[in-house]
Amino acid sequence: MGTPRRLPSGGRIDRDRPIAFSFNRREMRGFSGDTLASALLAHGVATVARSFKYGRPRGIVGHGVEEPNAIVDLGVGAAMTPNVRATEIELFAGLEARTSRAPWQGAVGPLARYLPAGFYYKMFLHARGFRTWERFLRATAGLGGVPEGPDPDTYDHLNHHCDVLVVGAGPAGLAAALEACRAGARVVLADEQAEFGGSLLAETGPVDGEHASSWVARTVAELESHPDAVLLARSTVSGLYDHNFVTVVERRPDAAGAPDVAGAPDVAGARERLHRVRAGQVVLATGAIERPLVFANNDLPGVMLASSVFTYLHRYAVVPGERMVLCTTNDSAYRTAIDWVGAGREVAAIVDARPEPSGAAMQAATRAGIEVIHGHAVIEARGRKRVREAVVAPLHGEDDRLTGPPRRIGCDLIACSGGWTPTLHLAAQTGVKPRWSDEAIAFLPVPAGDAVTWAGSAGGARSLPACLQTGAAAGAMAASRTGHGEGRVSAEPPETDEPPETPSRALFLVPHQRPPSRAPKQFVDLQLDVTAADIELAAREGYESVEHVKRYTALGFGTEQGKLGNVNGVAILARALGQDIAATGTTMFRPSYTPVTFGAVAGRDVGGFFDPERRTPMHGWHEEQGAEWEDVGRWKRPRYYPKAGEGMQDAVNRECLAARDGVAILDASTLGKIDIQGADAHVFLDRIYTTGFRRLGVGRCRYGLMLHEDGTIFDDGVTARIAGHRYLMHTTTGNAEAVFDWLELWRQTEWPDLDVYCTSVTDHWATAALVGPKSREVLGRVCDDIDLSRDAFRFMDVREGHVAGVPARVFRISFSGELSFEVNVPAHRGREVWDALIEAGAEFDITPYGTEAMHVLRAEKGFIIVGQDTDGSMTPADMGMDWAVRRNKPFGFLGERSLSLPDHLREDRLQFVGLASGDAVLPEGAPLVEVPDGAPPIPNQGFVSSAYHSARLSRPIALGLVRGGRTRLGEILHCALADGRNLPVTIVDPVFYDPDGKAQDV
Amino acid sequence: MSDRPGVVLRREPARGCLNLRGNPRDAGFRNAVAAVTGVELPVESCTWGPAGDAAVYWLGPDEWLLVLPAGREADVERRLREALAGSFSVVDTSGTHCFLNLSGPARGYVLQKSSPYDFHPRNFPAGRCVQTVFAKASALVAANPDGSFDLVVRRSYADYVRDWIADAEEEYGFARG
Repeated sequence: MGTPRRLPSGGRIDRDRPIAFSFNRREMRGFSGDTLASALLAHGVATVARSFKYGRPRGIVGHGVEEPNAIVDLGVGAAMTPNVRATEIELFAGLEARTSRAPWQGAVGPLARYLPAGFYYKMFLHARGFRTWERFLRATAGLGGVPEGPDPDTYDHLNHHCDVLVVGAGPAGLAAALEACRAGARVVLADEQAEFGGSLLAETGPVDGEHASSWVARTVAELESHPDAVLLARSTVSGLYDHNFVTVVERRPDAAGAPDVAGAPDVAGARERLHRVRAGQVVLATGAIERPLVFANNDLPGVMLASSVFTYLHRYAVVPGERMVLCTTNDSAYRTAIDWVGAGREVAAIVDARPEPSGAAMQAATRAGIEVIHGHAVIEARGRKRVREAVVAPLHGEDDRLTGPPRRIGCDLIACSGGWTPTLHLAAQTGVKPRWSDEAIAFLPVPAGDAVTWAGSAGGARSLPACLQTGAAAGAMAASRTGHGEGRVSAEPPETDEPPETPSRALFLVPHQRPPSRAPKQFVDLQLDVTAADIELAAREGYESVEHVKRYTALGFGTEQGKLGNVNGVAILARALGQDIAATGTTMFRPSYTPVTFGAVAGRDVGGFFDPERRTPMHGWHEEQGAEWEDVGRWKRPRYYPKAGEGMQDAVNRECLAARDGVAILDASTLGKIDIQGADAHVFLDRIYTTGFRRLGVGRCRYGLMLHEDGTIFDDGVTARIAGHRYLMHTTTGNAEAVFDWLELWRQTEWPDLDVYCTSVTDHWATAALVGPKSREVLGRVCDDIDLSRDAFRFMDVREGHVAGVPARVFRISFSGELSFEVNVPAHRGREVWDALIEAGAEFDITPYGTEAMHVLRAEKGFIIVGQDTDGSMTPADMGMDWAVRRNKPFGFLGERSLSLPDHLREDRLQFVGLASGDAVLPEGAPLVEVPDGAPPIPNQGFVSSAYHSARLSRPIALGLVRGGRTRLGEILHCALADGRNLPVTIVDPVFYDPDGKAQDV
Repeated sequence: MSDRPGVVLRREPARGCLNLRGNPRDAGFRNAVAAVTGVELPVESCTWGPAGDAAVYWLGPDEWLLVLPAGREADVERRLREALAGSFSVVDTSGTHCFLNLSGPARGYVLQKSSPYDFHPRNFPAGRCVQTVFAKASALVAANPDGSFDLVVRRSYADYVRDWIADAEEEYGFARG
């Protein structure tokens, strides 16, 4: 289709590079340099969406981030991104966009009168009403589609540090960044548009004696020449957090999967990049957004912001209509009408709300032959699918009321300007409320400390010279506050030919002959269909706080976040409440400024990078053996090693029997290991553990329980005395970091007088546990400098020597109840020693075993696993482990006093027992009850904590916690299964195998 | 993509490592360490220094990492234990650490993607080192006089870190040393 609204020349578009795209399945063409919105307007597309609540036709209103209507789903299939503003989409070849729709859009129109403001809240007043409406409302939630599959694109994060972050690269931002760079600061400059320049990209007047665009080009070139300047285009600053931590989302439209944007630099990698900036100073040069006027039917396609019409005209050479009525309260919009005439289009009239406008703008309009109707406003737009005429009526000079009959003016475009709203979203994120200025007719930012400043129209500047001047000053000041320069600007601000401005009129809701409740709808928030009548209704219903009214009416709740409607809504509320705007105040803004994709938040921390995988030095060997894995903390541990045709139970049975009858080997490298040295190391351990460490001999090991201050078991493990003042502590695999932190907490904050140092050596040691009656023979083949005999190397001894020629520490400790040697060598030699042990064990059919067999072996012995058989509420007595608690130590131990708490002494506490269950393996976690089929509630007697099939005993075994369990041996309980059945279980001693411990002491 | 790789990642051979603890205000401690190792302990935070074929990194107010040619750690540990008195700790951590070297013009971007620390030369010139978060692991990063960075990572995380770097450097073009 043709592009009737494209001017034959002009604009920052490349007419040699046409681009084909589709919108709502219609094939269209634009040029490189267009946005989707400008290309649609060039085609004369009027209606781009239907409104959220009423299904009314809506057209493009703005030209940037403020656009409330032209919201599209961009792309197709898995790569589709919902809810993107068409005004911010650079056109690229093959672009496919569709209007984002809410599920109920258009269907509600006839029902609208039954859905007043606050409907959602009113619904909650009656529970029945809520149930009735709930299903309907749930179906309506959301806007836009859902991608069809996992996102094929990648996203990443990049950290930055800078002295000065400048947000916005319009005139003020460019001037600020330039001064900060010249002062020698590290600068990050971010702007949401594809090109730097902001409003200067549509500027027609001169800056510093040259065309605005060449001043921009020269300035950007100088910025690029600074090695410590980072220039981020297409980058929206989405959040300003404490300590000037700032998130910036950069769109990189030509990355994998999406077609290249013509003329864009060829970047590879992520489609979007979240820049995490830590800035010494933040200069907000976020500009201002023109404020629409609220009049009847102001949502008709063809009602646009005057500045947007100006931008489409100059930047994109697009005229979004033929015959314009300009409705304004201020001078700034006049040039839109004047240049409209210059583009060969007709201006029906400038309707100026001020009683007697004067000054340069007015004179220029008159010179251009434009009729200026002063003291009037457009009170209503008329037309079906787009504007056909504007209804204009005289306004009282001070009060917002009409003073005469209306008249109609034919037009297809109403450009309006109610003044300017500084973009304060980021400034408000510092937590300081903006203040209303009657003089500026705007909310202005309020300082929050001196690390965030603003410049240009964000701070209320109303002219180009003022923007350039405040920008330069803010840049120089910010640089000096970070130690660069003395805060003085390097040059006079560039000169422009902009005439001085005459005062504006404060006008928000344009009066109509009928009150808002009876007049055609006067829209405040176009995205969520909030009208002036809705706000007045909220006030009548007793809402006074602007924050409450926002939530009651949904004003500013859409993705647009009140960028157009907020001030008008506040003004309407203020009038309804009979108070001024300053007293009413504004709602606050939270991050994010514009919607941020989940992909950008997640970055590369997805898939395999979501959580790091820790690997032992023997990981490759396990892989070669086809091990099945278990995740323990971040570690990958072999769970079992299936042979061909084996299921898990077959493999575990085989591995267990090998450990009991022959020799088996376990990779135990993941156990937490902490080297503890110092003259007071034994004192420290004595306080940390329940067990006593003062008399532990060199070369000996001791089991210990570590308690929290509340007396509950936190960790357990074996600690060895390596030398006089040197110990090695073992922790459970999953608790290694927590234990280390616990030790440091006490060492550094409570007992700094102790001479003790803790060093993590978890990663330093590779550990191979040789287990089984043949383990001594196997180790003897590769170790000739340690006497391995029973009496020379006793149970719970540690020895140093060489294994396979590698310096090693060997512990005779056992988590299986069998003869066992735990061989520790430096990790970088772990694999070679492991291989040597496997080779040495070959003739004994050495069997690698995994965590599952490890669990079975320890359960047969009744050894607990902290975190499986304990849940953070068990004391040593509960676990039947008073033998590991030494009282009457000189200092005591952590948690000792809590062991005397009355609750810890109750006899009906959950106690650790064995459970015999016939021939079924009980489900872990299953509850135990006395009476299987009594009337509920049935008192819970405990639960199953561990359950396995024991190959050695040829029957299932289980461990569990039972109320007063140790005095109930022999009693029968019932285990309640998920399928409703109950299995009888007998309470037994938790040691199922070798209760005398003969097997490990051979 | 240009022919020249943006990033070069080199995996260094294993080295002898000793974690050393003690009081830096104790001249006897400092002198004994210097006598045994020939290394002056850096007392300024986040600095490191080479000393012949060894290097010593500041890890904390009372903690250093001594890096030696592989195989010398046991001898140096023994001599340190003989020379030191009072409050100290020496731990062989040779198995703990994997050494990587990151160079190439885009090396800084890889660090920026991986860590919130400021590795800009103004903040992190040659001679600085820092223990910091690296993606979801941790690393000791040191700035070298030739502009490259040494990364010392825990062995169990080494595969993760190398995979992470390979992913981060992909857009710049890379090579393996």
